[in-house]
Formats: sequence, structure tokens, C-alpha cells
Amino acid sequence: MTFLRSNLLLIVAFIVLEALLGANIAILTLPLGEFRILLHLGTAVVMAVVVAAIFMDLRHAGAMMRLFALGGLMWLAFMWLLFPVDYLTR
Amino acid sequence: MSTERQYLAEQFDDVGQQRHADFLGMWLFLATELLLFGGVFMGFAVNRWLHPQIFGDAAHELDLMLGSINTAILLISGLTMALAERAVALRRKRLTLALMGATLALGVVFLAIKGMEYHKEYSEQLLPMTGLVFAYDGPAEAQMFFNFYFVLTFMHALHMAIGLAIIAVLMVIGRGWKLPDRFDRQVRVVGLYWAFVDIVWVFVFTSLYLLRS
Repeated sequence: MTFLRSNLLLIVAFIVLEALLGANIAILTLPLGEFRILLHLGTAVVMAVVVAAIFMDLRHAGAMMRLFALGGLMWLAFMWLLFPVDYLTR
Repeated sequence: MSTERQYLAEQFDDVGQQRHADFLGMWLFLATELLLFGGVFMGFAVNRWLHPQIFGDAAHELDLMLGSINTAILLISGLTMALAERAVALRRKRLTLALMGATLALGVVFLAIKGMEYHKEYSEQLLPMTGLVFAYDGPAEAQMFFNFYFVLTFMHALHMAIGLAIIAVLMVIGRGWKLPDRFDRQVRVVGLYWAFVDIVWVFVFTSLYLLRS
């Protein structure tokens, strides 16, 4: 019990994640048209941030570790930004 | 020779440096994994953008209930693995192994449910594979949706199976509890991998199951 109490943040993060999952499914019922897609993806991004910050403990990671994590996102952003150029310039 | 020296690789000055290098190595590996999955997601996004109605309709063929249950299970396993990392940091052997065992069991349940889904889709002739009848009642472009569905979910399941195998091996190593400092580092590194697998599934579930018309 003491162990769980000392890791309360992990439990809270887990509850938040399950609540976000429920919310993401509930969004299906909202008549929002294409805006619904943004809400679904936005919720997924928030869930990913919670997992990375708390389960992966990125919030306590050093500068180098954060740089490596951001590096992955940067290369992903390059790929995602440059790929549509092909479609947009045809 | 001290216990610390016994598992310190010769290229490192101290245990802290070795630990730091291990974590950096895993983060670098995860960055490459991000690009692997990111490329497939990008292909999915382009095709969904080109055929929004067809992809939105095809998503209705997936079992939302099983997908949701699996997501909830994977999030629980993410918690048990994160708790296992905290337990090993406190050098609590039995608790660490119990939490890793729970993670292992939840992962197996996830894969079993995924297998049930695959069987259902196979029975409904939704597998777009050579030699099999593809019987989806809709435009031919819908086949692309099912291609992405099977590629993404199979890639994820493969990563889970690898993670489960590593957790199982670590549990066997951990039973001896001979080098707890080293075991701590190994559990932390695997914990990073497992959390990444959680994140990937969140996007797989959202993109395939929830972006329906």
C-alpha cells in the first residue's frame, strides 16, 4: 500500500489515460463532421504525451535524453512535411 | 572485485555513465522505430485523405469493442511495467517479478484478443491476401484500408511479442537476483520499449478504429 501511495502519480496518469480513452471513443457519437478527426487525433496526442512524460519518465530525463526523444520527433516531422510536397506539386 | 565492477563494461568510467548510455541507446532505437511506424502512418494518412468516405466506411468492419478492450488492457500493462521499474529501483524482488508477470499476462491477453479479431476478419473474408477471397462489399479502394490495418496491427503485435519475450527472459534472470543494479537497468530499458509500444497502439487504435464515417 505504501508502494502504491509513493507512486500515486503513475496511478493518476493511468486513470487519466483510461478516461482519455473513454473520451476518445465517446467523441464518435458527436456530430462534428471532419472536426471529429482532429479531436480524435488530439486526444491520442495527449495520451502519448502522458505516457512519454510519466510512464517513460521523460519529465525527469536529462537534457541529452530529451534531445534524443525530440530528435526522433524532428526526423518524423521532416518526413511528414516533405512527403506531401510530391502530391501538392503535381 | 566489487559487485559494481563485475558488471561495468570496460569502456565506461562508472555505473552512472553506463546507465546513461543504455538509456540513450534505447531512446535512439525508439527514434528509428518512430520513423518505421511513422512511414506507414504517413501512407495511411495520404490514402485516407484521398479516399475519406471509403476508408471511413471500411473502418466499420473492425470490432470497436474488442479494439477498445485491448487498448484498456495495454494501458493497464503500461502501468504495471512502470510500477515494476519503480519496484526494482527499491530492490523489491518479489514485487518487481509480480508486476513484470502481470505485464506479461496482460500482453498475452492482448495478443489473444488480437488473434480473435484476426480470426473474425478471416471468417468474414476481409483479408486482402493472394489466394484468399476478398469479400468486402464496397469499392476496390477499400482493400487499401485493410492492407494498412493488417500491416500496422501485425507490426505492432510483432513488437509486442518481442517485448513479451524479453520480459520473460528478464524474469528468469531476475529470479536469481544476483546483480540487482544491472537488473534495474535492464528493466528500465525494457520499460521504455514497452511504453513506446503503448504509444504506437494508441495511434493505431485511433487511426484505424475511430476515424470511421
